[in-house]
Amino acid sequence: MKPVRLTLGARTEDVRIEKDGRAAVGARQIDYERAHGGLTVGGRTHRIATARDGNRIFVWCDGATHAFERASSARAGSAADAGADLLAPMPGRVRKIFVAAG
Amino acid sequence: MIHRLLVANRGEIAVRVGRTAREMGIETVAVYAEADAAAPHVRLSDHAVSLGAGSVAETYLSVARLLEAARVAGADAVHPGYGFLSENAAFARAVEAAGLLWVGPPPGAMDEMGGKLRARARMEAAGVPVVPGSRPGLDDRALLAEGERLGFPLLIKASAGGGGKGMSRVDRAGDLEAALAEGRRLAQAAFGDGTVYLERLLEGSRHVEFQVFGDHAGNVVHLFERECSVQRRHQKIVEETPSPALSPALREAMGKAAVAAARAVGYVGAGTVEFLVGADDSFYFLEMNTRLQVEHAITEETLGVDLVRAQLEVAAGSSLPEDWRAGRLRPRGHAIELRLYAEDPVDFLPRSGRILVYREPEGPGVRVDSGVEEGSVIGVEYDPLLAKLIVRAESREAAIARARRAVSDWIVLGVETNLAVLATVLEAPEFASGRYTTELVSRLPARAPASQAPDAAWIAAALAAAPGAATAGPVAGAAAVPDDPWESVGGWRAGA
Repeated sequence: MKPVRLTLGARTEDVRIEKDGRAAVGARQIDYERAHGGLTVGGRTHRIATARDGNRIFVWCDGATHAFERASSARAGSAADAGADLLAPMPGRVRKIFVAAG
Repeated sequence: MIHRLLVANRGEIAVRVGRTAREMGIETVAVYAEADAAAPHVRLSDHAVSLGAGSVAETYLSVARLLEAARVAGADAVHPGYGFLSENAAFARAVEAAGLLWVGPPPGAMDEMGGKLRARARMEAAGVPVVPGSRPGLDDRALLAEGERLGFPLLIKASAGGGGKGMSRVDRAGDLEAALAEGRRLAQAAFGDGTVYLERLLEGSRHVEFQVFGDHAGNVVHLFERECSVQRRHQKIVEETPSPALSPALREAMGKAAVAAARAVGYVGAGTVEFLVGADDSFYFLEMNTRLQVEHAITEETLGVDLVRAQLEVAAGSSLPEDWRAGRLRPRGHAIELRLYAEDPVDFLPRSGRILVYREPEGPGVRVDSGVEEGSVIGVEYDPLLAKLIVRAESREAAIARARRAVSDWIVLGVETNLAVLATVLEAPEFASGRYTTELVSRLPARAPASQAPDAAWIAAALAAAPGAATAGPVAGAAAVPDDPWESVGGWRAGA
């Protein structure tokens, strides 16, 4: 599954959810399990509730509420990425370039 | 006997008053501005009358529309709740003039307590201690002498001010003359009246109030105190009873003063006398709220009474219950109220939005008086109070533990609230010690940065963001891991 770019306060992370109960928050690989309406992570079960309103995602976790913002397009990358190398999501050959530098 | 009661309010207090009325076999009439047509207080009432569209002034504050609603619905009594027109003597008179029963104090008593200076003079005459201060109407020369007598710091107050407005602090005698000139100028600009007076500033004080109740037979009693020192922006957010600050002797003295204050104005019905209590246990009359108080429920919980029932019975002509008159009521255990506000937890400014998920705490000794539900739209045109959590337990320590647990069970998603502030208050050693003042909230430890969340929250957010995930629920998106190859191969990666 493609990563979801999420922002919480000053922190932005790409979070990738895999099918087999594995997730990646940034560079960290994390095993998780759904349990009784919550999530078990690292052997600890967290009580969870979520709600989505457009790109805003609200998460209640163990009594604390967090308001995440989802990047409007995960494929768009971020401004910080500009100028870096690009890797296409599928293999292919570049046949023609319609833009020029500047 | 009241047959049909119009509740001239909205939100949690309209729901709360309606519940007791229906228990008493009284039909209820809700009123609502068009934006509130689907609100719980409307749905839970026997009858409902629209106040039409428009501003607060054109709806809940419109005496004409409220009286017309009462006429249309066939109501025979009006309960004002708190806020809005609850302390408006002209409204009380208009209700009575329309032949309806006013569930509140006599308008004359409201007049006596409504004006700050008038109430202060009345209380002084009745022997109730007031904050040391100067008389109004003195010239600057006399006020400079009064400043020396009162001591510093002190407050310059506008005679026509109120609600925290028109006040300025002076720390040194040398600053008083210039501050008086500025105070007069500001008072004239803000209130059209440049009259000012001086009042001693009681630093490190506590805010303690007494519930009082009177009936038409002349009985006036107090129903003990509520500690209201946990405030932000001069408004309460946590209240408790009994106050951890009062000795039995101080409680008795303040209770007597509260009853004297109510007697002095011929009070009937439910009211609250507010005091400032100094570090040396001196206490001073602050003001009287001539209505049911937001925090009345903690008194109900420790005394096992229903104050709204008593209001309705007294309004209908009954005397206060025998146990009350005989002074046999005794508080049992400890109760704490926590106010849930739709507001920014840092700057405390009101927030708006739609409540997407709402789960109230439950369990023994837990009561929630709420005016909202899932789907409620919170605007900024009304008071941002959403609900009140009231907990009771056998001891203060147990009540705090219960409150912590209940706050951590409260789920409100979609609108920013002060839940984190309430949790921080309950965790604060200063609060736990019981030795806190009105400065508690300003001294709370900084709350965790908004960017801190456990991994589980990040994963839950990603699950909720997945295409096809439910928009709300325990763990939304739990089953949504799509098979689309474009989804599974991921997006463009930069810097790989």
